[in-house]
Amino acid sequence: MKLALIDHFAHTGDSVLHRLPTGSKLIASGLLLVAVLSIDHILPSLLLYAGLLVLARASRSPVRVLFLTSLYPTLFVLLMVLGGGLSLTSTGVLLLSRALSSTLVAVLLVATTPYPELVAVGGRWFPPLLRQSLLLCYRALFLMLSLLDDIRTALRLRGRRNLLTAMALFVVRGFDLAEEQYSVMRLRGVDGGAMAYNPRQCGSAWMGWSAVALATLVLVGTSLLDTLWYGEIG
Amino acid sequence: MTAELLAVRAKDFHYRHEDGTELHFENLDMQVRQGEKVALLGSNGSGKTTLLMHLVGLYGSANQTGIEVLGCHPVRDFRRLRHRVGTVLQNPERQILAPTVRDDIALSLRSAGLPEAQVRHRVEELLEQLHIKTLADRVPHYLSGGHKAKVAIAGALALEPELLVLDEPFADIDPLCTHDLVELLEELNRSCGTTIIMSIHDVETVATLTDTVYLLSAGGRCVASGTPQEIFSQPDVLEHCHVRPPVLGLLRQELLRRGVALDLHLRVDEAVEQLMPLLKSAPEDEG
Repeated sequence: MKLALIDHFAHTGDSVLHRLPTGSKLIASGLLLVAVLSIDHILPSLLLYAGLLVLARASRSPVRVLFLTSLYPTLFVLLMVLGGGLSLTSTGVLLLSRALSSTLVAVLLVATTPYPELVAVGGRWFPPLLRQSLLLCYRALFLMLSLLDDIRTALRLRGRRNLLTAMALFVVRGFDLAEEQYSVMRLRGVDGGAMAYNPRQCGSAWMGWSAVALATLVLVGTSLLDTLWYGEIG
Repeated sequence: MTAELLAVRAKDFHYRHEDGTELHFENLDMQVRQGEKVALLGSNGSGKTTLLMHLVGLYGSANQTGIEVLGCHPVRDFRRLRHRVGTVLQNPERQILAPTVRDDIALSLRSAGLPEAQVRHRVEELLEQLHIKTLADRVPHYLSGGHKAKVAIAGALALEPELLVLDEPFADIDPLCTHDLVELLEELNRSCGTTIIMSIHDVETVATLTDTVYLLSAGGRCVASGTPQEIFSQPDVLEHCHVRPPVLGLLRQELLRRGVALDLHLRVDEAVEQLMPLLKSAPEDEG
């Protein structure tokens, strides 16, 4: 999964979606998720997915990367659909469509909003210790990704592509890394109350409210379409 | 030398790593005065990092004797020393913990419980001082090696430490950035009297930046200590420790071999001053 790349888009992007206030984006994403999950028919569901792809394009991030990332959870749904013998039924297609749309909403959110921003704004109601841990996780995650990259490169250069070897090395070196990080925290006097993040300046409030209004409109629109469709078919 | 003026004192000790590697810091009589700039020089495996980790209190035990930092025991007084000792580890990237440069510099200040207004003021000061104001809101993992080093140093300097411990601060940094950092350390030392102890491989920097050098051989033995001039005037000892003299030292050695005896000068301007009369007189002699 191209987590580093998505994080990079979130930090360097300059689209309207990037400039929206984080709080509004969180609310709008929540509304879109409700819309995705409340649709019971294929056509409105696919229409919503198409709309989300347009939104992904508008984010000026490579749609291909966002699309491929959104496929990861969909794979599990696909397994469930195939395992349940639903592959050719409308329920199977609807489930897949819902999975695609909901993960795309989430991917779009993280590709247009830096993770610390999400934790700082969305985690306001979390206990301080949890918020601190989530902020610490951010750097730790990237250090681990960098470690994994180094291991993969070393193995490839030495003509080995064994995933198990890579994972074993990653676990062993991961422990070293964890110990090192603990030492660093001690040296820098981090006692659990110092980690903070100052949210950046975002677009104006009206932009945020417009996004929320638009998402509400999508929710209402898709619900209406779904009901009409249900009415006609029914 | 009175005890009050000493920033660091370290006498012979022994350390065994978890993997069984043993280091015997013999013949070590480290006495670092406040405001002194000290370099630990030696080959890989000579224990430079291990010695520094003892000074910052990460290695060693509460019962260990022979090491004193700013009048405190580095392990027993670990928390007390955190506000007085700034540390930059070998891989600066790994000591950047916060999501942005600004927040990382503020980390130790917030840990120390300083009011937010004071934290912001100090962070701005450091950003300015290290010429990284434009990076303030950047995410650490997208910075270059030199910038990461500067951020790590800024974080270490946040609480205005009396002692700065740097473990190979110029590794993986290009010469221009190294020059910037050397100037910064010199400025800090001049203006704040910060004591600096660093492990280093770059002999050219040692020659120009430091007051005292401790030369360690494999296994941790301290084979020589003194001013850079004194250390770099001993080619045999340097060779024993797998340390190559700086270019000006090599030039002096070569001239000496050809029968031209010169004093060792480690700064280019001083060496030029010494060589100019010889160069001017050379064509006349031949003619």
